[in-house]
Amino acid sequence: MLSDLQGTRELPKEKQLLDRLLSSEVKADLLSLFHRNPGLIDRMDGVARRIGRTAAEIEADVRDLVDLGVLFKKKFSKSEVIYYDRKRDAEIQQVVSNLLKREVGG
Amino acid sequence: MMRVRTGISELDQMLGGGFMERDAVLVAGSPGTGKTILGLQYLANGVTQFGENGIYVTFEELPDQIYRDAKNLGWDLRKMEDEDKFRLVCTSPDLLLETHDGEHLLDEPMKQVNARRIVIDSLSHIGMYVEEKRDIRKEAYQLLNYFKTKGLSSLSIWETPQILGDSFSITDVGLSFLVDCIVLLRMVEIESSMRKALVVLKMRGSDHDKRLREFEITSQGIKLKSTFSEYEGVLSGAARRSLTDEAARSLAKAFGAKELEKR
Repeated sequence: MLSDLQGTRELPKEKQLLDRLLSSEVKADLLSLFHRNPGLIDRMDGVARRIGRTAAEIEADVRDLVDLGVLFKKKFSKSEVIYYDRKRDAEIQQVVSNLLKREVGG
Repeated sequence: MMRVRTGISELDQMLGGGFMERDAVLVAGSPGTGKTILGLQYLANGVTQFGENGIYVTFEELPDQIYRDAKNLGWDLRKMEDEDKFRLVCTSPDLLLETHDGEHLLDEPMKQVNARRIVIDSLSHIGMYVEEKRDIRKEAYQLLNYFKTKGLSSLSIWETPQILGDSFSITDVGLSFLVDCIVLLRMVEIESSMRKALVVLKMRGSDHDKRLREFEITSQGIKLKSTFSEYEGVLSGAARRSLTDEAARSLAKAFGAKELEKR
């Protein structure tokens, strides 16, 4: 099941998370894509095409986002699909919002 | 038999109360006729009026426009998603056709919202991923049957190339035989303006209104208007006003009965 992997990993600490999320333009594009289209389920090349890149260009960043628990990968038939977790989306927004509030407030 | 209402009251009347439960419905039409809006309205009304949750499957590259367009029509899909009543799934057509150890890509979204309705936008995209035209029919058959076994009432969109013209086929791959109901949306030219027409071409196991109805896309979605009773040849794309008895009498008076008799 696609949900098997979800909810089992905790997000890293706020600052560390933000640093890694913003460490490349591709990651920002991926986050933006999945935030706007949380129901996107596709292969690496399909995801890449949607942000105007190739699978090779996004592979390392996808791996990092999977490692962070933001994106998920699952073997499905002949393919490996990438997808997003809506609950994670809300968590990330909260983390970023908290951090920004503190930065601005401090 | 349970009916699945679209929430568009005049259309539901044409369908004898709504689509039949678990039926596979095909909505065919050329670009700009309102197929996507009809699909979204079917799902949004399902959630808001009938407590029937749904899934919208799109193969568009950037489907976030769907959220925006739906919101402009009064349907807040993101809110419905937050409430676990709706899912917009965006994927590639070939992935939708695959199963893995009996698991289908849509199993999880279906479970998440306890879906009763599904819209595929569009079935035409499958054609891009099969080698032979006849394979579209095979793949579509499997997909539509999968929805039926899951208890879903499906509405699949099919794009027809014709905008106007006097010859048309719903699909050239034989899908008409696979589906239980066909709704055709069509542009027609009447008195030098483009208008939209809807007709229910087929409804397996149920009587239905066979007349063509004009419809409009309003700020609340699709609204059906009257039939084209004063016109002939509407499906040809270029309708002409039919000669009513009153018009015939006026004509006879103007030209004299003998003139008409000569013709």
